[in-house]
Amino acid sequence: MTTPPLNDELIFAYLDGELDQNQIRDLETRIAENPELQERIDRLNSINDSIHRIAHSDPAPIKFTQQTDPRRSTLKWIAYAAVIAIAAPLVIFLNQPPQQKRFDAERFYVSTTTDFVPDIVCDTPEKFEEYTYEAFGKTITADFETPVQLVGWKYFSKNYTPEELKDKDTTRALVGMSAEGAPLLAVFPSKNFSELTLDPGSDLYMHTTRINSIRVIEISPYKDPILLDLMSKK
Amino acid sequence: MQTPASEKLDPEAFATMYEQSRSTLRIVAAGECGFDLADDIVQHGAIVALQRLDQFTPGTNFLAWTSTIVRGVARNQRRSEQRHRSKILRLSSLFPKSGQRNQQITQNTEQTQRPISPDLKLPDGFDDRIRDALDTLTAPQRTCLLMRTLLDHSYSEIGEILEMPAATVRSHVYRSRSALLDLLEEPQTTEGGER
Repeated sequence: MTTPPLNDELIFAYLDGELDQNQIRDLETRIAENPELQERIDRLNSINDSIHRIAHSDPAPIKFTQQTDPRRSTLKWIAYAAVIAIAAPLVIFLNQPPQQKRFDAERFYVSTTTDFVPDIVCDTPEKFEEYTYEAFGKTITADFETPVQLVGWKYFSKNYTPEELKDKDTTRALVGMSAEGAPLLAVFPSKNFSELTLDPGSDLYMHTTRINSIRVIEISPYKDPILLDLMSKK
Repeated sequence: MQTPASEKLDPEAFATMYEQSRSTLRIVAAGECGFDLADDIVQHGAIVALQRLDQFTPGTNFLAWTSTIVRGVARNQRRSEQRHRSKILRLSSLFPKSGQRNQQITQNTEQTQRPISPDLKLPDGFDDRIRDALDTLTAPQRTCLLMRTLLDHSYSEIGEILEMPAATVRSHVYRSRSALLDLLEEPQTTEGGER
């Protein structure tokens, strides 16, 4: 009997449970004698586990109504308009050289846009946790030991009443200042929000992660994220 | 999933069947556009399918029909974004490279579906590398791999849903796995700084 050549196809078939008992016995003997082969199989199993971790999140319930069409929804365009309105002046602001002074939250939001209402200045961990719980139904903690001040924002137009806002876009953002005085922005996109783009000529960086299954995008002049590293799930 | 030939599919029955198909359709959408947009794509697919309900032939494969719609929605979404943006930064490709943050934040243990072997020592940022590697695959390759891995469907079952021969599905899965293995064997460039 000839021994089949050892290739990935055989290994994949083994992991897929497609080999018969004789083939399994033969392959397992060869695996036991070959650490490199064992390592390759371990790596494949690791890939499978990783894909499961990446994929797993609670799917959103499906609503069978026209209003929930994400491409045509008014809410989506509210979200886009809000992000553009915030991001455009912010990009200009962020490109300014860092200054060594305490971050002036009020001056910041006045200088960026007047169309949106600032929510709350989160200058303590308690305020920040309250803000995130109110915004997302989940609490996010932040390390306030570092000299970063966080300011909560609501992305909505002043034209809406508080009652109307309950049904509107939920995209939120936080602004802050790094230890060097550079401004930072963290956007918590709403469900309908899909992309955030930077000007091709911009020197800014975008960093994205999930915290407590909430998607967060940080925009800053730094290659490494700062705000994201200050936050953690609770 | 099939409906009896003698019955016409009403919206309520459609909603129930679509809901039952959701986990599969989510994987199909993720194969096209990534997991960040998958739920939105599936949601939009529900609307499109509902609007085209009269085009569905009772007795045929409901999952294959809705899968085709979901893939179409996902492709349109991709094309629309490419058309309207000079520089698109896909969120799925923006996940941080920081191993430290991956450990602290991204690798949310509450979301872990399958336990990791306690003996297995994964390098920092392993999931980020897999995510990046998945982005390098073609959409059909990624969809087939995700359906095989996450849904544990056979190659012929995947072929029926995606309307392609089982041998093609197998080929896509094999190529995907080989590509991921090869990419992971490349030396990491971001190792060393953080811990």
